[in-house]
Order: sequence, then C-alpha cells, then structure tokens
Amino acid sequence: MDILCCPVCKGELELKVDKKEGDDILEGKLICHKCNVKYPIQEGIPDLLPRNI
Amino acid sequence: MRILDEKNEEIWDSIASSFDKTRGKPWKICIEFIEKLPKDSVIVDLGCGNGRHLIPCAQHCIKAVGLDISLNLLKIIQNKTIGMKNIELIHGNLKDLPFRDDSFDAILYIASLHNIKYRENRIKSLREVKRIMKKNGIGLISVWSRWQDRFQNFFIKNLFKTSRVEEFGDITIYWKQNGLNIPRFYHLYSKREFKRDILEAGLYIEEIKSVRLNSRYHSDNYFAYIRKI
Repeated sequence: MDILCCPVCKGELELKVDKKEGDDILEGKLICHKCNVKYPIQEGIPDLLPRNI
Repeated sequence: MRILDEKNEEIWDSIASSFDKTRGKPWKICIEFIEKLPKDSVIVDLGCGNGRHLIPCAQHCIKAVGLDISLNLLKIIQNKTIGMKNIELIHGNLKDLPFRDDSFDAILYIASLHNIKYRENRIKSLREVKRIMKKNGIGLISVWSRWQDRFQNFFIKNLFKTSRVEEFGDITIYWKQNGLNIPRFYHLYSKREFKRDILEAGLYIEEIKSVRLNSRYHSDNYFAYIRKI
C-alpha cells in the first residue's frame, strides 16, 4: 500500500476498506482526490488502470 | 469509464488459462537474476503474466509485486499463491505505473514491452520504469527479437513494402485456442533499437545479451541488464 499511487497524476491515494481478512484487504477503494477517481479493490486485487475522465 | 488498452486487456484475459498451461517453466536467465538479488530486495514484475517469475521472486525477496493488464492472469496467480504473504498483485498497465517514485530495488520486465503499440508508448513505459526504481536499483528487461527464424521472412518481405502505416517491426502473432486464432500485437525489436529505447528513457545498460531459447539459428530474445544511476 505504501508504494501505490494514482497511475495518472502519481498523487497519493486514500484507502477505504470495505472487507478485510486478517491483514488482507479484500474489498475497498483507493481514492485519488486530485483526479476525483475511485479505483476499486475487488477480491484482493486493486484495479489501478487509468480512467477516462 | 476505463480506457481499454490497445485491446491488450481483452486479448490476454481471453487466452489466460491456455497461456498459463504453456508457460509453466520460468526462464533460467531470470532465475539467475533473481537469485543474485539481496534477500531484502523489494521487486516488481511488470507484465507478470501467470506468475512464473513472480513466484520465484517472492520465494527469494522480502516483497514481490506483480502487475499485469489481465485480471484473469492475476487470478490464476492468486490461486497458486494462497498463503504467500509477501506477494501483491496489481491490475494495471505498463505505460501508467501506479507506483511511487523510487519504490523498487529491482525490476523484472520480461517479454511484455514488445506488446505495447507505438514507440512513444514503449519509451513512456521505460521512463516509468526508471521513475519507480530506487537509485542504483537494477533490472532485467527482455523482448523478442525481430530476426528470429520464425518471423524472419515476414520482415524481409516487409522491408520492401513502400507504403507502411505500422512501424517496422510490428507484427500480429496469433494465439491458437479452441480452433480460434486470437490476434496479439507485437513489436519485435532489433538489438540496436532495443538499446536505443532503453537509453532514451535515461536508464543505464550494463549488458545486453542475445539469447536463443526456442529458435534454432538466430537469437529470439534480447535481455538487457539495466541500472538506475
């Protein structure tokens, strides 16, 4: 988590956890406030593909 | 809405499971690179595919991150690595890396750069590689070579084509699956061009090796050992 950033602006991401199992985040969001994009985490895999704004 | 990346996402998702069945063995040259790394290295495998090199990375290094355009391939890795705590999987593309500056001690970028369309995009990706590496970090990058036996004739004929929309080196290579031919984009490199693109991105090349893995006469892969100075 400490190495991830927004793929577009390279800015910080805010983590919102919806579902956790131990230390593993299974469902949640990584939010870039600068780009106004929510990158989803589903089944433990963050989707950090750029969005068309 | 998501931007579909040169159809690569769709294509690799559709061939993920049959691709996995034929890509079981890691390459020796990659294993040698991984095993020489200090144990406390944080490594990223860019275009990690079915994880054949990512898993050895995680067995050797303190932390291994795998990035791929195909979610289906990432899920295949996830199933193989249940219980391995030092692996992170990221769904992303090679041109817009979602990693902070100076994050990695080492990078692996095996047989993926050649799937990016247009030279400016490949250079952009290599610049991203430099950005995410720590100073003095090292990497191994490989691409398929243009003049290997099985594609040579295609490119020799192509040399004499007068009108060309694509870049020289571009080729469609089909993946055969259930009687279907699935087209995949490749840009096959000459050694000189490979070197030029890496240098243009500002990376230092320690060595470039021409390697024959499947080809009989001519080398079919180039491997570059790089460093961020």
